[in-house]
Amino acid sequence: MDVFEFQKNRCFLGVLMVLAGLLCLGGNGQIAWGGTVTLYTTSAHSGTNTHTTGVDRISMAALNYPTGHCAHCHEQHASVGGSEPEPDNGGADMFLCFRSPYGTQRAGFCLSCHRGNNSRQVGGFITNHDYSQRYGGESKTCPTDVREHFRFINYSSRLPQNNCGSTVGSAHDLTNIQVNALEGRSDWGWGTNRDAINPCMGCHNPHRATADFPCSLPSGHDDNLTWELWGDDAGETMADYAAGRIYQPILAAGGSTIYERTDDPNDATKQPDYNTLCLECHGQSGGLPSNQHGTVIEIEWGLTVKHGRGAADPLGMENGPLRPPYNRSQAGSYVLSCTDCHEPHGSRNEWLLRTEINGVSGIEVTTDEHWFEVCNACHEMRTDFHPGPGTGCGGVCHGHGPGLAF
Amino acid sequence: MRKLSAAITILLVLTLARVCPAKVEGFCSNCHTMHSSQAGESMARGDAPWGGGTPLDTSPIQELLVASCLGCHSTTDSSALKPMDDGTKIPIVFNTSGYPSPSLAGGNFYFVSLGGATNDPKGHNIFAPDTYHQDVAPGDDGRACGSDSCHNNLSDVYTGTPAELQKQACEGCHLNPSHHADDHGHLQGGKVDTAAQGWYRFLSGHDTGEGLGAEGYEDGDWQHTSSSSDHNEYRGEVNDGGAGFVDCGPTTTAFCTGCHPVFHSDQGGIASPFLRHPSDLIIPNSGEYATAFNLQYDPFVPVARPSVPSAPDPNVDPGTDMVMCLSCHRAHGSPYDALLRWDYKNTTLSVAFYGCGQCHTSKK
Repeated sequence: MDVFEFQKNRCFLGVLMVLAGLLCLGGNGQIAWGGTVTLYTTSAHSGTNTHTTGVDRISMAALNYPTGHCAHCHEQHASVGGSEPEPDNGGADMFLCFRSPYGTQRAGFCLSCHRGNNSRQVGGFITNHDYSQRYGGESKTCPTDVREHFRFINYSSRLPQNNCGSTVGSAHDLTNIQVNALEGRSDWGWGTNRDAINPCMGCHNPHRATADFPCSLPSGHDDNLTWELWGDDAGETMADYAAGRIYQPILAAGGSTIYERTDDPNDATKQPDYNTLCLECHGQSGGLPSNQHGTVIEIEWGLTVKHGRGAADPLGMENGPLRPPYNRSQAGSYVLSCTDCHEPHGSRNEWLLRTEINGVSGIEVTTDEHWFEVCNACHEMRTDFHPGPGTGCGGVCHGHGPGLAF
Repeated sequence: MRKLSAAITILLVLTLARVCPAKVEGFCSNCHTMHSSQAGESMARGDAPWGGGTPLDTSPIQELLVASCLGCHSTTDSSALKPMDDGTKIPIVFNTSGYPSPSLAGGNFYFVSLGGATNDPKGHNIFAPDTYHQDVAPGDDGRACGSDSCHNNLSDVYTGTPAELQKQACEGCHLNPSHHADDHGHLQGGKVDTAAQGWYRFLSGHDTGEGLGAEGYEDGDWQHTSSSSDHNEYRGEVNDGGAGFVDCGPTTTAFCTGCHPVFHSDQGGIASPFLRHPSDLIIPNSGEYATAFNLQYDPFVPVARPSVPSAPDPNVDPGTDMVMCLSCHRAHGSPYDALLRWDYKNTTLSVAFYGCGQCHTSKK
């Protein structure tokens, strides 16, 4: 056996031993068996995942680094052949990345590649559809990349700006996430060095994320060994979150028998439990400071909330009976996923409301709190009761949060 | 009584003769020639390797040597250890016909000897002006030693002062070869941590590093054979930045920073977030690092110790042992760019990440 074969066998044995160790060890707090163990080499960035091609920075590909290689993101010494590969920022950056973790809503390490033009990725762009398109099946031409998802708010004012033809859009404010949700959360392993916090990592572990399960809990960041994907294992789906209730997969655009993420309308196990993910930040007592809204109110999704685990409102069912696939006889039993209504990154609508919900495409919320079209996707909104399309209703009748009717 | 005393004396002499560190052993003529002439022919062969045929330079060599450093430690065949008639073995660092398998711990100069942009990155270029890096070592901090300084160029003889530093090639790094120093027996391993012993692998300093050098355990056969219990040992020391032996301690990392200082001085401290991959930093005993190396020493991806053991330690102890420059890089040369120990650019990621994955166990 030559040295290389010896090393390969030892590597394979090493992987087996690590996996065996993960199976056996536990209780010491350092390693926990949490289900499927994903490694970088099975992630989207490695290129071994379906729907993905892997990281492939132009300057490193030119130096024959294979797709998916660490070097496309991390420069061990910020020097190859005696000089810094492009982008040459004049020195090394945190975490050995080729640039600083975060800049603004429109610029940062992740957005250097996840953008539609001038991307550092070979090819010059990376296409990432929003939730309405990726899972809802909506056809759209904007936004089509992550940077564009987030550009519904201005990088400087962090207020809505013209993007994809909308001036009333919304997006997760990345600076808000960095400063108000993550900084100082030492229990989540984020520390107090603001410059070292990449807000994208509040929801994503870049070394594990896959196309189908791109998210990880922010609270898991404290231990990079166990900071696993969220939603890919038993216990992490809407079937689990809705235990005792029903999660109903909603329709996707294109037909009355096409559902999001599943072929079986009764299978709630295919929908990741994004509620747990979202509520790690949005469920914080007192809400979250927001540049645009002052405070994003604390969201509670339990027994007092109709779209959470709470009972249905008979008046609501009379004036807005449920549409398929929901069964009116089971009104009050359903629990919604956050992503049933909201985009995770950004939307041309306010409050990150999706443009496609329950198979209904082209949902426009062009004026503040005119949510008729949103609600009408799942409820037959009686216009003799409800204010019709184009009339505000939010904040008076509906809204998330303690004491509100939603 | 007299016979008993004589017998005891003889026994003692024979015993002591076996236990006294013997530095190099064997026939003096393995390395030296009295007049550089035998049967009318020159005995000196310059840089020509063993088996190399007619040498280009037969001029007498200092110290009455039969060959230069390169000449003694290179060969035309595939052996990494050159056996002599008396049973001694010479470690080979340059095989002219191909990269040996196995190579010795420091690697081999074969690929860099081929030259050109493709091969220059594969070794410390002691042969010719480097077309890849030019006359600046990667990680140089702009020190003004001249382009022919050993810190920037190993192929040219340094022409500056002091005269005793006018060296090149092997002696550009192995500044003061001390083959006759009292370290340990030939083909036997031993701890080397003093100037009297010649320092670990003759790695010592000058100027501010005068009198200082690297500490380590020298494997008896230079890791021609190796395992978790048969290998070199390297000293490491955690320091926040700096370069050279004064700042970084008696370590091989300190020696590397003599030419590549920025890679350590600008690594971003001794805690995350780092700017450059840390060297001489303790492998954490937490997270993905807690099972680094499966806790077993891998001579292919060595670690440094806070103190050099007297014998090879078969274990890796996260929380104590350190990643160092030599964890990832060979000292002389390798088949891979940047003198890396494994095929870092292999299209199979598990191969490309072999060494990385020893510590970064969740990134395999």
